[in-house]
Amino acid sequence: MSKRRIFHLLILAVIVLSTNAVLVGAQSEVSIVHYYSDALGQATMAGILEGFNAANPEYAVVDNSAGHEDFKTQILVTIAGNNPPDIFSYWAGARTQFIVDAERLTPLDDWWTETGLDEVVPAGVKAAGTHNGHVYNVPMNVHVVGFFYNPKVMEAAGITEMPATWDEFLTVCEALKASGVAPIALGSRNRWPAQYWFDYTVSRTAGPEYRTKLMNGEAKYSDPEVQVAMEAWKQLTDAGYFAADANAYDWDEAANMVANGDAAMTLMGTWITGLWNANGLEPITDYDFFPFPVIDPEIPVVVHGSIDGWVIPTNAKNPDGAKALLAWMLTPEVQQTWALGQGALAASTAIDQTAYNPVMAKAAAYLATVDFLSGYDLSTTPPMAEGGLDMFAMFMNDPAGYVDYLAETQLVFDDVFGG
Amino acid sequence: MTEATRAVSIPVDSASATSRRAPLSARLRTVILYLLLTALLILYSLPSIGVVLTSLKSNAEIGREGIWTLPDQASLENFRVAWETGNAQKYLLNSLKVTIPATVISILFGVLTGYALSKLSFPGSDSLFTFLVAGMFIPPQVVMIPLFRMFNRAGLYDTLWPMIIVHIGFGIPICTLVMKNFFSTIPTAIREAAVIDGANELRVLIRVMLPLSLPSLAVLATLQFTWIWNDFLWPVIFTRSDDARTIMFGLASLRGQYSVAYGTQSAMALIASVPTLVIFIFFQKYFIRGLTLGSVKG
Repeated sequence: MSKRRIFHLLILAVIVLSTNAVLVGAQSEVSIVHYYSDALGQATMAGILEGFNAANPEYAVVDNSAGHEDFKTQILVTIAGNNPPDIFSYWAGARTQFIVDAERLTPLDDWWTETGLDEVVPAGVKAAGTHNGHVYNVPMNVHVVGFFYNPKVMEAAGITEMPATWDEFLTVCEALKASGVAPIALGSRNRWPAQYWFDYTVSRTAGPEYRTKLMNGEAKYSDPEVQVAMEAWKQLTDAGYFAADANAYDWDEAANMVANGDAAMTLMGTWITGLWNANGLEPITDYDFFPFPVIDPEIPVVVHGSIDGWVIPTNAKNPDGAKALLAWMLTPEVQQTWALGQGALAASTAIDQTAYNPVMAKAAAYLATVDFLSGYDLSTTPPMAEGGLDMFAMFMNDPAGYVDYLAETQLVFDDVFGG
Repeated sequence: MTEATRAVSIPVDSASATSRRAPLSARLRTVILYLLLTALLILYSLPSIGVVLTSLKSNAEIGREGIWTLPDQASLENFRVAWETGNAQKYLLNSLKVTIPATVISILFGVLTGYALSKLSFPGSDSLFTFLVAGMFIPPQVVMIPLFRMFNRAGLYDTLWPMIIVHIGFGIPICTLVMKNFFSTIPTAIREAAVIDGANELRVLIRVMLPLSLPSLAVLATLQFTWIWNDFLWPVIFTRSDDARTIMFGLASLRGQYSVAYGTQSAMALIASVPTLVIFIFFQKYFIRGLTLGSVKG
């Protein structure tokens, strides 16, 4: 190769490299932090973000994750320390409200309208991310809490119709108990799985409005409404319908009891399907779903669960990039990939509904017909939630003492909400 | 047999009976002791056995059989996932990069301050000692946000530096306390003899005091290494990306919000425990001696 040719090649290389550098330099970074840190969550999210980078070459996403418990601390410190990411995952409800009250989140009403999300996100789901009249938390997925059961165990006990009312539910429990299996498995070692019992008994006996008041500190744990709800729960513990030693197990161990046929059902969120699918269980044949039964037909029915969403902090360095990424997250393709990958329901109804497995399709259909309320620990303030969760665990340990536990919880309430 | 011999023979018989019974009761005591020790050993090992068994099983099998059964088909897949997908290799390296310098430097400072406060008393040295030791009582949560802001402004956020610096800072009080107390047990005459022989303070410290301090240094090294290695709070606060995370943070991240990964977590927990185990085995001889230092006087 002649010297001249080498010289030309060198010049060409310099031009190519510098052009590339300019292109790379023109990209603006969008930093995202989320709590999908497990292998499956990370892999699905990485695929979604790669897709965004490919479709939007002007942006380069920096993807980071942390386990959800550590995330709670980490994100608050980065916000207080003035170095938050441009966008981060967050739970709709009281946790978002806390940061909204600190004036650290960007309202996204205009962006929501421009993106046309009212047409694809159910109003109930949008409401969960709306605080002080503004949209702050844009939903990514919804988890619905209901009864997940083992159809083979039900069949063996002669149950073919799932209960829709409280009386039918008690009859089913009795039949299951008579057949020799524990009707209900609950793993409340980490307390939160027990909260859905409180959520549903309160909202099914006192109504969703009262329940919202209780969560906001406008009603009290010493109210008769709460006692009625606890009595409904106690009815089941007194009859021996719960598998023994609930506080010794975690939710996944309770799920395993149902899968292994040691118990018939568990009150849990749709995330349970992710665990069962990974363990090789088949929807409909190995597990199925029915909603929490109606206790008082006069009271409007709601579904409890959790919504994972995205928020943009006020001091985001690249808010435009964050909004572009947010729009990408709400596209039907991404929503579908995410929902199927996570065993969750998509926040957007624009996805192909037939893509859900039959059990998830049932949960989606149910969600479409009723209003949504977040679960206990996402609905009330974190200090109040601590007091309430303690109460639920104590109740499962000794249901007879619930009046005393309620009185203790009321003391926490007085501290938190000022009596 | 005469009365006299009978009188003598009685105690002899009784004595020989006692001598025959003694080994039996001693043996019984030994058996009971060993049974008790074995029971305690099993009890103490149970969690570790559970972790090892879990690390060799798939999540589906753990779901089906629980953690206490022997694996149907023992597999090292969880270790592979923890090492490759779970990034254990990177986290392990980061943990070493934080723990080794932080341990060495905090002990070094502890030795210097401990020696100065113990052997080179000066006006206010007692107050200074109290001031230093008082640092142990500052809860890390109190300084979390100021430290975050400081490191963020210094451009050190999401690097290993904040963890190294903070561990050195939080390590100095305990290292000073241990080393000062240890140096106080060494007779001052030894130092004076060395000084009379012409050694300067640094030489006295390195050549005379440190060789005598090996047991307490080993205790400090083991404890500091373990504390820093197991630290979870500071990586949560000071890091955002995988590049700057330590093994304890990685271990916690394996569990998702609504997912379980017992197998992989157990595998990573075992990987994470190897360095502290090695350190303990390495220093074990000194460690036990160091713990019992001063327990017998005279």
